[in-house]
Amino acid sequence: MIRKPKRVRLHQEHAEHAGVLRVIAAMMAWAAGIALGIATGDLVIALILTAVITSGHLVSWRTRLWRSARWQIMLLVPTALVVVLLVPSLPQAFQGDWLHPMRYLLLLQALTSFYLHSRASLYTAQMLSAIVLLVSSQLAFDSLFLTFFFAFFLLQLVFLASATRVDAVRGAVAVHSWPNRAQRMLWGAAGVGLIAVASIGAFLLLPWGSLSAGGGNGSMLPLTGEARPGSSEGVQDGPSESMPRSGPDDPALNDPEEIQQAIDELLNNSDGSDIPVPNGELGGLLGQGGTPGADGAASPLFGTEDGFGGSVPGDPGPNGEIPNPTVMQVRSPVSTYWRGQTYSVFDGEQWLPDGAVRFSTPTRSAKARYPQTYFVKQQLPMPVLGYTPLGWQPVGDTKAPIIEPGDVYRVISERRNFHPAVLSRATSANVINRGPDEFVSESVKELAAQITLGRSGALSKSLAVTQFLRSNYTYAASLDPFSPLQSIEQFLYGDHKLGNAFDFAAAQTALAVASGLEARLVTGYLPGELDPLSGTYVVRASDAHAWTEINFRDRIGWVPFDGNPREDGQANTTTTRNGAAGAVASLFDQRVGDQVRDAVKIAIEQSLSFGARVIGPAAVGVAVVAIVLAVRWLLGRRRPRVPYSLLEAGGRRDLIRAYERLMKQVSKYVPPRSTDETVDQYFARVSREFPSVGEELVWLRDKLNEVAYRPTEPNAAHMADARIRMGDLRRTIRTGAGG
Amino acid sequence: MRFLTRRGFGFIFAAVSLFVIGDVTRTGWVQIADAVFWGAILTSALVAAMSSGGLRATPRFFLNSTPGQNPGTAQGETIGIEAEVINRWPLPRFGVTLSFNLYVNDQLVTPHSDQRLKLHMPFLAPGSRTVVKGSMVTSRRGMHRLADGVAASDAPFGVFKRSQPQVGETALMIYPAPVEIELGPSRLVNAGERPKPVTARSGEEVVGSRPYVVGDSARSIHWRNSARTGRIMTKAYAATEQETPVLLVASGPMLDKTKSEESLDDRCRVAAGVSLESGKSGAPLSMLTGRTTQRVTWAETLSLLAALTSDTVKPMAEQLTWLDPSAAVAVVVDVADDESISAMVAEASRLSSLDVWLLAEPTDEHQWHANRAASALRGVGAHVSVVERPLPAPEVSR
Repeated sequence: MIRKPKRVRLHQEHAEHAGVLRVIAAMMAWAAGIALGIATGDLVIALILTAVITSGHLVSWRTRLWRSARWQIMLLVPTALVVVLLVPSLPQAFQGDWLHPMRYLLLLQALTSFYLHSRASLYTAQMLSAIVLLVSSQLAFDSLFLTFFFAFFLLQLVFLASATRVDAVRGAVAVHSWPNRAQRMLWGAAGVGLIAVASIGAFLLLPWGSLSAGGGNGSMLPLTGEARPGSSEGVQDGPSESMPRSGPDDPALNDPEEIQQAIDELLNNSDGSDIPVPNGELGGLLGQGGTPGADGAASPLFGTEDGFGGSVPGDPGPNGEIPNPTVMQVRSPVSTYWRGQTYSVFDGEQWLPDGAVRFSTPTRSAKARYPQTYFVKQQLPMPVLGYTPLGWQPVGDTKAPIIEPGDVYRVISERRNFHPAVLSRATSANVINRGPDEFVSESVKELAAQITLGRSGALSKSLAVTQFLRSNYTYAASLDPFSPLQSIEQFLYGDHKLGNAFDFAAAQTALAVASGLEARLVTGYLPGELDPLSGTYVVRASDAHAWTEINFRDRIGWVPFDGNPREDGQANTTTTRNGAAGAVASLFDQRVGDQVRDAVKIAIEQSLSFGARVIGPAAVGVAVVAIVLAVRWLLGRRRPRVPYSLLEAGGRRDLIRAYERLMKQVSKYVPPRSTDETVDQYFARVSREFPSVGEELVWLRDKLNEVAYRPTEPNAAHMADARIRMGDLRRTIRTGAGG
Repeated sequence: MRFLTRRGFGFIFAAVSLFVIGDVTRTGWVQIADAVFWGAILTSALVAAMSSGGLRATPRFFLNSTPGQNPGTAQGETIGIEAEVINRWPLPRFGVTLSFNLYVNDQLVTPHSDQRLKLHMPFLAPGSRTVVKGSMVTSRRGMHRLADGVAASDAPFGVFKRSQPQVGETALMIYPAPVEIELGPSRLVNAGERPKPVTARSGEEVVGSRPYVVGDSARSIHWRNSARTGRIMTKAYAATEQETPVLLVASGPMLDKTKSEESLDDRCRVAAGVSLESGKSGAPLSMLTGRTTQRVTWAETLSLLAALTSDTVKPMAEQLTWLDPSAAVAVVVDVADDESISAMVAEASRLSSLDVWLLAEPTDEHQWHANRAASALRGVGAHVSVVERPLPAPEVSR
């Protein structure tokens, strides 16, 4: 009886024998795994998985010639299990929870790494690593992550270069060595430099989506009643001329020194006990739900005892500079104010914070959803959730309500349409249960009535109030915007018409409520500066802000309005960096591709408007003519102008052209062939003029005869040789060596 | 050959994917990584485009060892391949691979691009002249020709590949490696009186001419016919003296086409062995050249055997009809070649002697065939020897 061998060792045709490629592939897996670990905070799990991947590569390398192995087949079971687990988590991923699938993907890679035999399987492993890495890149941005991120891509290039070299050398009968090591180093450095220059060129020319602070999908910034560059929001329905330019008699302050003086005066005269500051009395509201609004009622998430507001610019340092630490960085395709605490309770003096945050109910299709990732650098009393959050997902150890430095969480939001044309059709009515309008003083109601005189729509009234405050009051910066500086009456009717962000928002909210609108006060942060490298908005303590939201019915929800005239409120700015990172970041401003893309976009928009009737058909006509000309040119290229032969063959025409060039060169020294002269006689004459190349000329003449008149396909290699020889001959004749 | 390689498709797909991801997520470092990819693509295109044109490559065979008893290189011996590459442009070239097709007896033996003979040069200095040397072991007999040269470069990442054909060619005759044969009681050993040395041609009648092959004496060149035909021809003599046995190689069974070349190769090696041993024993063989038999030199025998292909070898019945009556014949035939064996049995009566070498594999089916053929041939007076396949591999010299 013949005993079958347990393992059949066979030469596998496609087995990858180059160990260096496996080492590089394993290193790429390490880079991706560690990057995922950094992004998620679970470095240990990532390291274990990458260690398994390394072992898998080692086993695959040792068993690359084995046709089958039982344990490899057994590995198929857990692999299938991971695939089964991975597939149901994919819909979750499209809702923003990318982490679970990525861990499964890394696990899948760890299992499959035990049977990576061929080059193709190595590429597949790299692809899995790349997916893990790119998804992780959306969850982290520190320099350590960047190191592994770029290490991965450099390893990819090294892998390709090594694979190319391995293929070339492995299949070769002979390999010529480099002349010397120094030369190899020199050309290697030149190659790296060339790639760097080409990369910068590609970076500047590629038409990426503009990395402007306006956001990839636009912005949802508060309406102000003023036109913003590149935005139609707030343009319509601005304040009317009939509106009082100023509530009080005194004009607004303009001189900075005068403003500072007024601030000092306010601070000295104000009595903290008169101003209700949000404090522990709200503890009973935790988790009990806030103001039911048009967004609907979802489950309450978290509340705060201290209200929202801890991270504000601190006291000046020893050198007099005001510390302005980064509070958080937010990656979001939509530029918005980062909403934190809401205040919908009014006690007759001031607005008090709500006890709970409620998520919105989706009103639009899934296409309107977008993810935001918050990387917190300073402690926050509760998560900042941005606009219309549908849900949040903490990453790693992040826990609500206190958000610690280093915490990361993601929020899925819905992009609502705040366009004035839409808002002008919607309504808003003051139906707040606690009835804050009852506490609004008569003077405020009177002022509100005066401001909104003749205005009927909710948007019209909202913008009138917003514009009134922006036009007549002065913003006092560098003051804590999360607590009021003065009472609403003091702010509206005081001598200075000066207030911090909370004063503005409190007054605007009170005026809106007094106008019959459903309004609330909101504290949070301005969009901040965009860091183009990480694609995040850098929000600093100085971006702390307060503003007003007005609830619009018809499934629109809370719409922000900012009556504060602070200059950085609506400005979309980009961060400035120093050093090498600054040099790289500065490239983002130079991108030609973006400018071209924007110009094309604008041109298309313009052509689609009024001029479309003229430009459109003309453009179509020009395009048709261009296509026809291009097709004719392409077809014309196929026909030889001089019909030497009816047969088409690669290089025949090129050869004849090369011959004509040669004859042109020759004709500078030898008179051209006369009509009574045979070709042989002519060549004999040329040979007499150029004796050293006469033989070569005769060979070429014969070759030309063969090419032009022989009815069979000419030998492509012979023709290539003839072309080269004619080129040589031209140079020889030009340099006079032939003569 | 297309400029973009299969790997290039994948690489560009990755770069485009990264572009889309960078565009959607608006992450600067993803865009920078993508830009590096595009930079690599641009560099690859540039390097590949500038690295193949303007090269002139000339291949050459050279012998690594001194030929032994054969007139030249035989199967199993190592031959050297060298290529002189002239970089005619004032540009450095990177990762240039020079590849050639190998033809044996005008039959392409490297149909797939991976099989082409390649010589790799990582770097060629501007205007330089570089000689690359390698070697290969010859496994087949016949005229080996290196042709269809292509200089290609896909440096540094294999994303783009540009090729340029090269005109240079070279050729070398590889002779069959004789198999050690014991003639035993064969009649070839006692084939009559010792003939004249084959170099002495006096008194022989020239009956025609045939194309020159390596090993032919310069004295036997048929100058007149060479001038007429434009290629070097050699005189063909008629055997006027004592008939020498004529060596025939059977065309082989036509059932299994895939093995026919291998089988013919084996028959030629056995025939070479028979010829060698016969020559040693003082009874050199004649061979059929065209339709006449001709007593040939050892070099000529090997040349004729080297050039034998399944297309040129005639059916056994036809070969036998060209022989003079009462000729002595030595035949190498495959046991499964029923057609040839039948022809020999039919013609044996008019031949003076018939020596047959049967090639058989040690399988039951072949042994049955061998027994049947041997008994049939012995029945008509032939002397039969069985040679077992596979034959011992040619001794590889390095």
